[in-house]
Amino acid sequence: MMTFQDLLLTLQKFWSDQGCLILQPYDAEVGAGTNSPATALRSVGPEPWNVAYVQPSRRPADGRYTRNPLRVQHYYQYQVIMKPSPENIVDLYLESLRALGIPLEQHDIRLVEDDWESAALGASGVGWEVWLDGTEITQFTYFQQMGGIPCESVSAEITYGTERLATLLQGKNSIWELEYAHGITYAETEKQAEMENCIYNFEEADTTMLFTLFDLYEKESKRILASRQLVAPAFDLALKCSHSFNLLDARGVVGVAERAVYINRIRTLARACCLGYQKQREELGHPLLVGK
Amino acid sequence: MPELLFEIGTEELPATFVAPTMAQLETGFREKFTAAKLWGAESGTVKVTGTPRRLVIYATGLANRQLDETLQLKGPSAAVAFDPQGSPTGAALGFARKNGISVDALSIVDGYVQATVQRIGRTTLEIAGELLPQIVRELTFPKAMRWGAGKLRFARPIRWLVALLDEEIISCAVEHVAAGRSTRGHRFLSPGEADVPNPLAYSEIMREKFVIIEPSERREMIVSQAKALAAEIGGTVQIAEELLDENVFLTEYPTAVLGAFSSEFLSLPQPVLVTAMRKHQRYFPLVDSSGTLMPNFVAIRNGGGEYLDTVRAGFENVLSARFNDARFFHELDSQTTLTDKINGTKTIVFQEKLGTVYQKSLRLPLILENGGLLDVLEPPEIIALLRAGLLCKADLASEMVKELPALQGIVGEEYARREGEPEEVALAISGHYKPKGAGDPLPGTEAGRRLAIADRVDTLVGYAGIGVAPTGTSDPYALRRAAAGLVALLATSDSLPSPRSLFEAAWSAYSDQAIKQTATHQDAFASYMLLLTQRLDAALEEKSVRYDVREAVLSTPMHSIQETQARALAFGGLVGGNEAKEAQAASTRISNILRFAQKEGIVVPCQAPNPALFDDAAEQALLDRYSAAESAFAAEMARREYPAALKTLAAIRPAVDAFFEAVMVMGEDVDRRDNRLSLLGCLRELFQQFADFDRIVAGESGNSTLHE
Repeated sequence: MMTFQDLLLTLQKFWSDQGCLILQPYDAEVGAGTNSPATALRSVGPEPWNVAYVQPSRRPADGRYTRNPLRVQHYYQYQVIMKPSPENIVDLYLESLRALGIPLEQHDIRLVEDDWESAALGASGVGWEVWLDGTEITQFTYFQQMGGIPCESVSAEITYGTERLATLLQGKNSIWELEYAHGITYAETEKQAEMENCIYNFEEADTTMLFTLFDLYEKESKRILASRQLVAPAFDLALKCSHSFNLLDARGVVGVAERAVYINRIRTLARACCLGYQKQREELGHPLLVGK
Repeated sequence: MPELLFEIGTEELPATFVAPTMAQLETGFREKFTAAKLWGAESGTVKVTGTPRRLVIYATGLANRQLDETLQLKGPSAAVAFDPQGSPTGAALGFARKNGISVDALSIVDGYVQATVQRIGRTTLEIAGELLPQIVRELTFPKAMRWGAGKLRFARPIRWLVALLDEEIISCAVEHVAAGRSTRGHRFLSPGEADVPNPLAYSEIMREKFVIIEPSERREMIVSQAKALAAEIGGTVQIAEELLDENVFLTEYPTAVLGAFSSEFLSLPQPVLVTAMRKHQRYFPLVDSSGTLMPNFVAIRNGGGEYLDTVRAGFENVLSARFNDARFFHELDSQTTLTDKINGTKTIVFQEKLGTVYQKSLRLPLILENGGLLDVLEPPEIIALLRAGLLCKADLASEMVKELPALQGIVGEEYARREGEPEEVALAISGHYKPKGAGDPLPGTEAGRRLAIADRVDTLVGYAGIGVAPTGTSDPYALRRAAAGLVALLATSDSLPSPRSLFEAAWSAYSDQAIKQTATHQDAFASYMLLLTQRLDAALEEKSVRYDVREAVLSTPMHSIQETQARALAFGGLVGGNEAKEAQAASTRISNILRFAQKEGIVVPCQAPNPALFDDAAEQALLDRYSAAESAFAAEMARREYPAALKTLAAIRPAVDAFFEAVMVMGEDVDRRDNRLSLLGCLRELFQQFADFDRIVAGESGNSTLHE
């Protein structure tokens, strides 16, 4: 049986063989692998960039107190970025499924239109959800815009839902039953924390504190970007705003129209960082551009 | 005669893009190849087919080449081209060289040099290589993208091209993809490449490679298989056209799969189950002979009949997971009533500056009552409507709607019914969100329509009160849609209140809640009316009412949307007729002189004229005519007899003409002058109750694109 660990290792090996750097997970609370600077910032500008990494991701509002067999507020995305997108990128992706032991011709695989947009990142892309027998296992996106900046060189982003894939491969109905490795289940590594986080996210998180934190992080991000062009920490602070907002959202204290205002504030920060990063790379003379 | 095949191989196109793109390809081919004289609809055929991964033009009856042509080309005048001795000048030499003939071959016709040139027709192979990429580049999509390092925008990346004229490859390229004869089969059933020897062979080759290129054939496969599977278990498959289309263009080789889910899920609200099946999974639901939902579905696989059990198990598992999710929400929701859930809306912000959804639901009964929306209703209807007003936003606090926002209102309706609320109340809760957009039906019940009006008025007045209005393409709060909905709702009945009284009721409701209105009452009302007028204008345009008629009617005071719309429609049918022309002539004459007076700085007094100050019998005659017309007109307007009302106005014209012929309006005597102007001012007011006739463009057929 392919354990959860085997699945991650297989993907690491596969994409390494395709010429990707295997990066380590980013150490900030993010809702998706896209929010890591290895994607969000690096997809800006003309330089090539081929990476893959596991990204632990948090979406507080998605928690279900461990009662839903497939939905959790904390999970592990597998993220691939290839920039510029190679000709055979869809074939490469499908090969990776074969590498995971999925005989494609025995299943129903469909690429269903799903354009992706992250209002908070000012990012948008065009692509698909990949369905394996009706289950979405991957989001496949050609980035068109990041931080409001049109992508000069288009990245293909592949985001695997690792737990979802593993349940299909192991024939389990619940992620809690997944074998992580060596006889230890996913429930053992994750379930208690998941439960506690759901209680925190939905019931306990101090909303006054979170509103305050949002304001503080926002102010700090703007300050250090303006004063010293510190793109990396300014972006980290934008991510912290984003996570504070996600918690407020889970607490149900943000209305539809108010949401738009908060998301706009996060986008303003993210855009400033993307523009700062673009400038930085220009000043460095785009060192990764070959044949320059 | 040669045949042509052009296949654009792509990554998976969005399902809704394929059919419109096929139509564009056909038009592009017809136009370009006809214009190039290489193909004609009389002797040739063209057929465009498509799947998610390919768009294909197959044409027959092409020419091998363009015909040779003999052209007579006119050059410089003989006087310039030849010197007096008859020797060619530089002008003659240059002209001959440019056309590739010797100077001796030039002739002189009517004093000008002429070259007779044989133009050899180019081959179809060559020209098609230019035209096909042009056709591709001219395609448009609802949304296009770039990929890799390229600049071309297309629906999805182009990965291969096949371009053949009989056995020969048409040499061409789009971006960096060069055309050849190598195509690709079904992604999973026949992943390799295959050569296409000639256009005719293509369709069968594709079939062998598990690609059914003809959409109608795939449609037929899906429908017949789905029906057969449903019949096996005594059910009927519910095939929504849109979902069928989507499945046709999600597959290259469709195979229907019958699946089941646990019947315990049938206790969930049906709209929840159907939404999960249709919208989320693209499955077709099944009903039994009594129309009740069965615990089964038909899903369409993009593949053949092998390993169906694996696929079915996958389809069933994912649906169960979704239903489990829904059940989880439903159980949570069942712990409280809708009345309890209203409290949950206290933490849902309607708009940052306009308070919570809870506050909104407290305003709705006030708008219903003070805005006049309860008038003409019977007490039981009033009770139901107020109850629905109180409950209509409660489901926003339900877990189900938080999860499936598209089901707002529908979930509220279900929950209300389960809790024993009257049917009227349940239907009004779901109805009040309608119409959701252009073309969406209005609420099916009276209570639903009235609640829908109150909800939209509340939103529009709220935003107007904080100075938020749509600008250009930016309308983040969908206020135009709300206004269009309000216009459509108010246009349904004559007994509905005026936009003004609705505005006042909402404005007071906000004030009573101490919600800070930053715009002045006057500005807010103007901005609210502007939105409504623009939407009514758009609605009338859709009903093909001329732009000048719309302008003329919409610049009159709007007491009732229904009345204004009826008048515009009626006037639209009458404009251009004799009576409209007579009325317009009278009105224009009056307006011109009043405008002139205004320019001279004369304030036209707004009072009834004094007959004692009349000089001429024509003045008294006009006043008499006016007095008679006024009461007749008022009665006709009240009865909505627009042709009669217009006739009444038209009948004033002779008196107006006689008046202008008999008197000098702008005479020296100020009192008498002002008296005449007062008379004309009264007349103008009368005309303007029907329309601002000055805006009617004479002889205009009403091309609406000239407007705005």
